[in-house]
Amino acid sequence: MLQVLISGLAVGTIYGLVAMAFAVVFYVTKVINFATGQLLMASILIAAGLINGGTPDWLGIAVALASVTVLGVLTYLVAVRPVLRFDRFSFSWLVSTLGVALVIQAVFAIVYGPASVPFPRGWHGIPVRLGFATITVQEIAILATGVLAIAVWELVRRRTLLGKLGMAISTDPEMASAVGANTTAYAIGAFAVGGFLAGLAGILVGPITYGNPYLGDTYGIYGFIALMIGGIQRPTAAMGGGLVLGVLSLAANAYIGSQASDWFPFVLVLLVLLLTPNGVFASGDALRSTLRRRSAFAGAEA
Amino acid sequence: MKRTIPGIVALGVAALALAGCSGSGGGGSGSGGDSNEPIVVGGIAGTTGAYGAVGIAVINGTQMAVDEINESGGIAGRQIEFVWDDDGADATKSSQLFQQFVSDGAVAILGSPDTGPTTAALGEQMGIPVLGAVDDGGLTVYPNGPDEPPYQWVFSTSLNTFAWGAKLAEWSIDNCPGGLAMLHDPTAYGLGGVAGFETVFAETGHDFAYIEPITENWGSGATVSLDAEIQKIVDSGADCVEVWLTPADEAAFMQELESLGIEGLTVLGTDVTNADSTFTDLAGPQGDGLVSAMMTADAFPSDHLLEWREKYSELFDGLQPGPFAEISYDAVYILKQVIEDADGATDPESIRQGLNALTDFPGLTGSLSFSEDVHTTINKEDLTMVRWNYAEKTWDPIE
Repeated sequence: MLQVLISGLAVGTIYGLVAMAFAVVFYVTKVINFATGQLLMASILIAAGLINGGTPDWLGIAVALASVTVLGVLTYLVAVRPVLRFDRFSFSWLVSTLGVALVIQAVFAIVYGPASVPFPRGWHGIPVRLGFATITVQEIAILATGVLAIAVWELVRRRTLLGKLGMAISTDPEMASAVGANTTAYAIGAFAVGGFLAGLAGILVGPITYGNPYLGDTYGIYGFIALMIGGIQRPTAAMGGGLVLGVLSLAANAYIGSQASDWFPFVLVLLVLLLTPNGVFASGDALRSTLRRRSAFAGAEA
Repeated sequence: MKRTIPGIVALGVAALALAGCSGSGGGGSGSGGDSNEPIVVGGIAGTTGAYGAVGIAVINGTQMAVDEINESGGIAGRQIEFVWDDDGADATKSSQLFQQFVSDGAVAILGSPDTGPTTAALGEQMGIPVLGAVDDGGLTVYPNGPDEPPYQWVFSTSLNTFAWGAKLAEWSIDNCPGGLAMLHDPTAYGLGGVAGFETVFAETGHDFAYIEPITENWGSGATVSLDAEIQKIVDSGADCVEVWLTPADEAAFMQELESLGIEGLTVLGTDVTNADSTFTDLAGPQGDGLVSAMMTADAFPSDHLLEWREKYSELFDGLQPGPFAEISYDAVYILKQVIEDADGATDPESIRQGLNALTDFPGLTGSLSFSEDVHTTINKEDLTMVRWNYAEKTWDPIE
């Protein structure tokens, strides 16, 4: 049980980081970047390619993160901004970001070939015993990164002018623009942060899953499911969705059957959408309202 | 009236187009055939995707044989026209390609290593010989199990899950006193491996200590989380585990054993573990000691095979061929012999009968035969047990 929890939290943090990447972009621009999974893939392959070619690990990772951050910005400039300029209520970004995803995948398949590429094991080869369970130093780093990501996001959002302006743009972009906020700069920033978070998830999961040009779809889908479970409105909620998905998926594998991971995430997201359409950790959902009404009623009776 | 005429014209154009596209249908050029017409052979393989290297090897091996045969005068005086396409490991696309090649006059279809169940079923349905790298033999060729007749129209020169399963089962009985656990892919590929094991276990009264299917993603190469399964394997008391999964998942499994601090568990591989360098590249030092089986022809290569491998590398920019290129090369030469033995007849029934009568064909992968009941050329007797030696980067025979 403890092993399932530990492993589930680690893999859930990866899903959570991808979900946060989706959520940060959506938070500012109300756009879902369907190339997020491919940004994760790109970061793994760029880092693996550089490191396997002799570049120091830290430099390879830094270049990979910088590259996918830029790639995230390019996604906005090429596939989203032109669409929204034409019609800001259009959903064509859905297709255009998918197109970017396919292009990124195809380019990396040509450059790196179709076969999987090894990623340095790093800290994943260092186990730490916790009672009857084992956690690797890599998994500890993953968990720590997840906590840090949430902390940094909340700190910036609540305590900095940058964050408060971001909230304003998220709530009402027209009004924020009218009072002088540079919404384009924030959109670019959101896509950059989204790219960075996806890249970070890639670097953290690389030692576990290797690099492959076709990897993006898998993590993109799981990240999107985590986003729907946690709540699309808040990146912090999205991370929560990832943790829930990770733990429950691994528990399903362990206690239902090893093929449960095929269907369990989709059953879970369906249940969540039925009970809490805004996400488990979002505000304003029907279930929470119902529970509050019941507890208020019970209090009144007492 | 104004709306009706354009509609009628459109229908007429569509009908003409369909008539033009339908081609000759069926298969083959009839008995004998025009000596100026090439013999069309179709090839289907997944040359993209996470395991595209296998498809590339199949196509390259086939092309190499086709070019050699054409340079030396062709088959019964007729050149081979090899038409192929990438099925992307997608059954729908494979089906479309199969029917397209048959309508183009293909006398046989070679492949597919990824969508073998599709090409095999279509070959059986349409009465077209399917040959070469047909998935990994096993249940793709013998859909009702190893003790039942194979598909009439499917002849595999490929690696064979039944053979590997049986060979590894025998080894595990002698070397795994604590029992054998197994994780397997739930597709025909994985179930074929299980069937191979069960064939031997049924005879000897053994059984698995633990067995579990794991859904994998052959398309993306994404590895699955195996921590829960590893714990169940340890709990079962087995001292060996057969990891009948993708090479990437096998590599991840061995690395995960180290990450979890688990020792003393012998890991067994599959027919594709040593078919290319995916497992060895990804597993690194953690892959040392994995036990698998290999074609004896590859474990102890002849001078002829070594020369062939050199020639292949020169032709294809330094690429190492591997077993999928070898078996595909053999398949083309087998087809050549069968057609020549039938005085140039290329109709499906002549080819099928010729394949059923093939005996001791001298191929790269050994002495190859088919019969009415045996439609796989690689069987348990053609394999040698090997172990991966990471330090030397070699697969060392252990028998």
